[in-house]
Amino acid sequence: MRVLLICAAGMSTSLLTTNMKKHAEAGDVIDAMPAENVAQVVDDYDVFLLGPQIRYREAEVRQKVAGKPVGVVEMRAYGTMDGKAAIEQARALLNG
Amino acid sequence: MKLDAVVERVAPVTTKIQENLYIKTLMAGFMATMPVLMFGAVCSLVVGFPVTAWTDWVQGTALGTALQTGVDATTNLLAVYVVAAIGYQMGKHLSKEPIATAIVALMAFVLVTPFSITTQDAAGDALDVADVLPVQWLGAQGIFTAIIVGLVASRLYCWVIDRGWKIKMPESVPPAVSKPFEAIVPSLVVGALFIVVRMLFDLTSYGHFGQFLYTMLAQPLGGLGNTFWAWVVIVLVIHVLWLLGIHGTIVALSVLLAVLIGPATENQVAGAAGDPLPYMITLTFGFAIIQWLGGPGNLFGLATNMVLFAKSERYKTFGRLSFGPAFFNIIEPIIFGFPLVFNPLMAIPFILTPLVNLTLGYVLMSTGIIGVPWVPLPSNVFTMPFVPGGFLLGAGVGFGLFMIVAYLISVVIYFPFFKIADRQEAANERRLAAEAAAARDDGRLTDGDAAVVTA
Repeated sequence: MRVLLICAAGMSTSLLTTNMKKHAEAGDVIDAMPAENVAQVVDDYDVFLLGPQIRYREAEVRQKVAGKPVGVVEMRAYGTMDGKAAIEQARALLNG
Repeated sequence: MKLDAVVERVAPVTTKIQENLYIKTLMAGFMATMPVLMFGAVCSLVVGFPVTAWTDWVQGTALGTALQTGVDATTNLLAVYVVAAIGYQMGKHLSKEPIATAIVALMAFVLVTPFSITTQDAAGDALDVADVLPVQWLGAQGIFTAIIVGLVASRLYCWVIDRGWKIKMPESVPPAVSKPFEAIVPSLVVGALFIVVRMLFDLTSYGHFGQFLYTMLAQPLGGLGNTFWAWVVIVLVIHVLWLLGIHGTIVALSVLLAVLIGPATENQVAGAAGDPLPYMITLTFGFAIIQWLGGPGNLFGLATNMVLFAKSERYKTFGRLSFGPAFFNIIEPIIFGFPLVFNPLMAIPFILTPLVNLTLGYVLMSTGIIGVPWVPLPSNVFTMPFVPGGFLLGAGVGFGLFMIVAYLISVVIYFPFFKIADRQEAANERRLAAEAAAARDDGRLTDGDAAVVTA
């Protein structure tokens, strides 16, 4: 599973990335990036998760990734940098 | 929930703002000039380091000259970099050849720039010098022109291409030959437009387009957007958006950058040259307040409270988790994890703290107790902590100390509110622990009963 976390500048999501990697399976790819750059890397990821602070750009991201699953990390999970919850959310999005 | 309804209303507006082609292009364009801004900032910081002994010594030396050249080639020509970067980003956003739109934007900018300056000869009479580009209009004072010309020229270029206006070659002509010809019509249209603009403004008392924009728009807007009261409004908007869980800083900056960056650059030019600063409140100062003290709400103060005073397990743990990131102004964990979103109690210190610090800084600067910052590192460096940040703005030790005081103020303002939240949480934890203990006792009895039954 290849997950892209999307936020305003890629800073707070990079924190969550570190925590998600602890709960990742072998072969999982987890990166963080500003929303601005999503269009160029759509092909490199399977699931896209937005930080809640830029959830207002969800529609835009959804349009850019052309049908791939998109979600917004639940606020409390984001705030506590809960990597386990975030990776489970990504997996659920991918399988659901 | 009522607040969710508010978000439903606000979110589309912020999306519209961020989605707007011109705002997107502008923001990305400015971000792309970061290497130039950084190099210029470092040079001006060193050459203008506010210690009189140093500035007196360095001005005459080769090192001083070299550093000043570093400023002259970057900050003092910023409009040139900006116009090309904006042109590039426009091409990228509209899926055209970006380097073509960058070059066309630069061309349009030069087309409206005068090729002569009027200066004074030794006797003090007016002296016209031909065959020069006046640096005055390629730096801070030209930024507004660069924004408008950059956006219009590159957008128009793309528009003409989209209309399909081009010189058509017979089928037999290979694409490698016909391709360059396709750029002829769009560049003719853009070039013609800006030559006409140049000629028209030659006839006015302004002399040229840049002067007109500067006098009519950049100065009034810059004056308006760089006052204390404008910043009170900016701070309020940013913080209300954050309380709704929206990245208010990015939204506000993307709208205001065009107005704020010119005056900040003018300050940098004056500061590096050792001249009096034209503005007191600029992006340089405002950003130090809203970002470097632990981000919006100056939340490093709240993180400090959690680490020092938390009684509840939850805030003890959360304090340890969020302290480090908050020092570097990464505050999403606190915003969403404390949480501050939709939290009416914490909304008070969240909005109050930056307003108090903004006001205090303004009062101290107006009374001359602390210096005015002018090295505009801030619009790029989101993660700079208040120490050493406050000392790097060219405003002397006084401003650095002010930032430390501002941090202490944030700790004090958050303290009573944090105590209330922490007490509630601690009571909550005790209740949960008691319930859990009670449930365990019940469980043991049940287990016992079961054991009896099996026996």
